[in-house]
Amino acid sequence: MSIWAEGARVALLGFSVVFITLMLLAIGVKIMSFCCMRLVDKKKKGGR
Amino acid sequence: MDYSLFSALLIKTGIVHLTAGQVVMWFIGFFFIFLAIKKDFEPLLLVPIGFSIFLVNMPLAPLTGEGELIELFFRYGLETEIVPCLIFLGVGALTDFGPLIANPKMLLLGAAAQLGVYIAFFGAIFFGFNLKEAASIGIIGGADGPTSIYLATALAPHMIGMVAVAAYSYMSMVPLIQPPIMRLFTSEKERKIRMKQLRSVSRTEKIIYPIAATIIICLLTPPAAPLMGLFMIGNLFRESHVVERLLKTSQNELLNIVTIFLGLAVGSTMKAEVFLKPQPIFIFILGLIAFAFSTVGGILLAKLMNLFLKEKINPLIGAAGVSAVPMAARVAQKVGQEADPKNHLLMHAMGPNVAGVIGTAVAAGMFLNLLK
Repeated sequence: MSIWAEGARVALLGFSVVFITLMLLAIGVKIMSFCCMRLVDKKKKGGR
Repeated sequence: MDYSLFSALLIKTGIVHLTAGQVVMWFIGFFFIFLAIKKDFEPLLLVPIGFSIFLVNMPLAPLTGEGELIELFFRYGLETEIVPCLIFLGVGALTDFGPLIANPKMLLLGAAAQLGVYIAFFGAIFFGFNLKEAASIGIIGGADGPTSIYLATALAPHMIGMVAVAAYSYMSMVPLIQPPIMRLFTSEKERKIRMKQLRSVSRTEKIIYPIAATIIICLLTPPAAPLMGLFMIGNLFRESHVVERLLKTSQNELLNIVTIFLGLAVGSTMKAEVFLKPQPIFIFILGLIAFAFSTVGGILLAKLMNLFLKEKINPLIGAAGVSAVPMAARVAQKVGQEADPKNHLLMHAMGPNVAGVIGTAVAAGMFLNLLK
């Protein structure tokens, strides 16, 4: 395989994984925040 | 007078062994020290790097041979990859992920700002570097010194000095390089966009974040685990509020100690016979290209996101997706305030800024995954 083809494979895979990882992390953070807020709401309601 | 004794003595001194190349390197070392002291460019690193360049280019000095002082710093600090990871521990202990947790969309801007890494990667291939060297040069575009050093150590150890100096030079020149690019790719109207104040983030979220992020990142990119693992444990020290001593050590003493070792070890790779070749010039040019495209990548994705979002993002904060923390975020704030003095973008820009650190570490992990 030529160096250009191998380079293109590395770049394409690399950039895709960077995007996918950070996108999953963003989704993960959103879910985590949602759960935490629900928990806080429940505690507040329980406190009343 | 006994001339043979005199000549025997003379030959033992460095004077007769001094080469023109070494003197040139002294001036380069002086130049770094000058930049650090007079211009305040990354002084914590450029002072030890500059002095180390000066030291290792002293003829006959027992510093860089096997088992000698600076060679030991290099072998145990850099070759083992301990120092860049420990720096990440300290950086993690100093990082507030609050703005990122409050607005996780900003993580995408950190990903887009890795564009320059891959553009420079192709540029380096064009200039005749092999894939491993090209990856080590490309990562400069992430504007993250420890990650650049970490990757260069693993893939192209002969280039550590050049890559590190290019990375730290451009990081220190963020306020000079980024603003013209930011103005070129944004309109006055876009620069005036005001963003809604970020919500406050609970302590629980801040504690869970480093654990969740470690799981996601390490599962998807295992080679990024050493950097990301220490980055996140440093952050957990900060957010847990129960290990004050460890936090203070990570933020201060440990970070300062490893910075000294890093500076000395990086400078030691810049010996005249290695550095005075056309290669460093190409690396500096490619580093600048990488940096510029990373800035553009972040801005363009922010503009693209604005096509779909109800609450618009100021595209200037996309430029902060390059890692250089917190300088890139400050630059976004400054350029934003030129258009609207009452617009406060700093906290918004901190989100993409720390996302850039993660993005660069993942990009480096992928290079390691595919090329090592």
